Amino acid sequence: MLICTKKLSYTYMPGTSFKVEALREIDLSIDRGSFTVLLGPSGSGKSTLLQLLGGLLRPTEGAIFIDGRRLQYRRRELRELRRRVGLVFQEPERQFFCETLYDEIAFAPRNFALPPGTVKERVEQALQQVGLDDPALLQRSPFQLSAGQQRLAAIAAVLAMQPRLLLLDEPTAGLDQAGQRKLFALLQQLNRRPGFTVVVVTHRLDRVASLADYYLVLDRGGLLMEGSPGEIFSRAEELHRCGLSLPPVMLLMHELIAAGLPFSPVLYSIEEARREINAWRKKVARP
Amino acid sequence: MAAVLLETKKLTFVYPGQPESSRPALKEIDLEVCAGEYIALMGANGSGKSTLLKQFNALLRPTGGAVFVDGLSTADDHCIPQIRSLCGMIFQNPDNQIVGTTVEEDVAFGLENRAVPPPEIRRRVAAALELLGIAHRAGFPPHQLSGGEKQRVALAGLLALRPRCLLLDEPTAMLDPAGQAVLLEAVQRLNREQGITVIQATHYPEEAALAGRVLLLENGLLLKEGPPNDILSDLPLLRSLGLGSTAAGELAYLLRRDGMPLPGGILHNRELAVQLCLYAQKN
Ligand SMILES: Nc1ncnc2c1ncn2[C@@H]1O[C@H](COP(=O)(O)OP(=O)(O)OP(=O)(O)O)[C@@H](O)[C@H]1O
Ligand SMILES: Nc1ncnc2c1ncn2[C@@H]1O[C@H](COP(=O)(O)OP(=O)(O)OP(=O)(O)O)[C@@H](O)[C@H]1O
Ligand SMILES: [Mg+2]
Ligand SMILES: [Mg+2]
Repeated sequence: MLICTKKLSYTYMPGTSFKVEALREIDLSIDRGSFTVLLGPSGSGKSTLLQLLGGLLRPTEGAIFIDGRRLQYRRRELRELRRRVGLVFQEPERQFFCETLYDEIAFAPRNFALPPGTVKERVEQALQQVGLDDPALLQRSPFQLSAGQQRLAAIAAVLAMQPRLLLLDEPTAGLDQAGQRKLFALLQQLNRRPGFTVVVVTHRLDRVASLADYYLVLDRGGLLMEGSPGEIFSRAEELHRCGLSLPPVMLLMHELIAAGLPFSPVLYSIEEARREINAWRKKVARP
Repeated sequence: MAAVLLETKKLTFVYPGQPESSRPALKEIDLEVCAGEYIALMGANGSGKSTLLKQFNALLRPTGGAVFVDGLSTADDHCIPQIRSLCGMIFQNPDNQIVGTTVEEDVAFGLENRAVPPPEIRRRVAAALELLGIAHRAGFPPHQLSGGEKQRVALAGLLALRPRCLLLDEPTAMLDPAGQAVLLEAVQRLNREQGITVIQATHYPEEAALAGRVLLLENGLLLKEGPPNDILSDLPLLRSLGLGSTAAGELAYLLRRDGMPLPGGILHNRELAVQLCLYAQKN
């Protein structure tokens, strides 16, 4: 599905002294099948925007269009939206309300009235996809898991709905390296399916940088930049000014270039850097 | 040699309500931490990092073995107030920590509890909020902050208390890059200038590289410990545990495997730059 917003604004607690204009007149579009990363300093409005896109908050001004149709927040529309859009919260424990891990993951499939056999399959598949398939955990309360296990559970609960659009708020916070690698391999695999769209909010660009094809950068409630990775990361100065940074491999390449080595500054993964340095080595090693 | 501040002896812990047959969350951990050390705690999800940190401020207490803080046993109820004022903790989930109705009250809470005089409270609260860049939210209800803002409020509350030992459970997980840098610098400064002991659980090798000693946990066991240059350059071990090294550490390891003569222990970007320049000169 194609999402776009027109002058989308959101104000928390309007009309009180605690009023916060979290988003102001945002015009953006997210293409069907894209892998979009939403960047921005703390408090810039990322989580607010994700909840608006997921239909959990209603704009205080402006509108959201899905496949060209303006979202009116009718009950039928919202039910349809919930089926197609999965949102993983920044604080996973906000998502939990069942007695056991199993029930938590089974909630959405049961809610869609799928037959019990299908529910079980979906639960097992989702837990396996995120790497939380230790049977000792299934009957535990989600609150009795470690923080990283809780995040994996929250992601699995959303995957079990089999959405077409995945909105993930800081999905790697608290995950170990293997869990992060596994998650991004999964997102890449899902994103290859025709029309499957992924939007990720993150402060850590190490793994996501080589997957993302589009970036949106928020700053203090406004859209500061949007574009391809190349367009965004060539504006390092501006990113830095609002408290953001380049992907770690780019920072590393910049350091090598500053030392006088002849490398490309636009590499996003360790593997690309490895190839580049090995090629250089062949050249300098020649007698 | 500095005095031992934290000590565990055959520390074992099983969560209440777990079947006896289940694997303990911590198993026979023997550890000594000296006053003024800066320790990074690494390990896969569920390996026991948070459980271990909570032992040091007696939030959890051993089901086997013992934990001592400045010589006081956490099993002794009378010692708990003193232990908690020595060792302050921030939790992985800041929501569990927030108590006040405004950010300012929340940060002041621990100080009021300890009967610090009000003018001193105001000074310390203002300084902590300023340091972490959230002074503009002082009068706000803390539950209505963004994730990163909440994490900074929790840390401000801890720093205002000035404990001798900071137990930090993934304190940068939700901070933006500028916020991460501010926090890490503040913690390093407290450690260096005031000898505050720090134990920080982290999944980020860049952060572990700043510590004086890295501890590796696996399934509740203390598997290995040592200086960051040793631990973080043992890629085969780290990978077998589901962990990794810094960008420079990972790249140096791969290049060495591809046959490039690089020394071990490279963790920082600058170190790799220097080594590549030396290589170019020699050829
Ligand atoms: N429930 C709420 N009530 C009032 N204000 C809120 C609420 N949630 C967020 N805000 C405010 O709205 C602004 C945007 O918050 P949001 O959570 O969208 O930021 P964010 O970009 O996700 O930040 P972070 O990186 O810290 O998670 C912040 O200034 C925050 O204080
Ligand atoms: N309240 C609880 N009841 C039962 N078991 C628990 C509870 N909390 C944690 N555990 C289990 O104890 C083990 C250690 O958990 P702990 O939270 O210490 O891990 P961790 O290393 O901090 O992991 P993470 O990186 O995910 O935060 C895990 O297997 C976890 O499932
Ligand atoms: Mg957020
Ligand atoms: Mg933990």
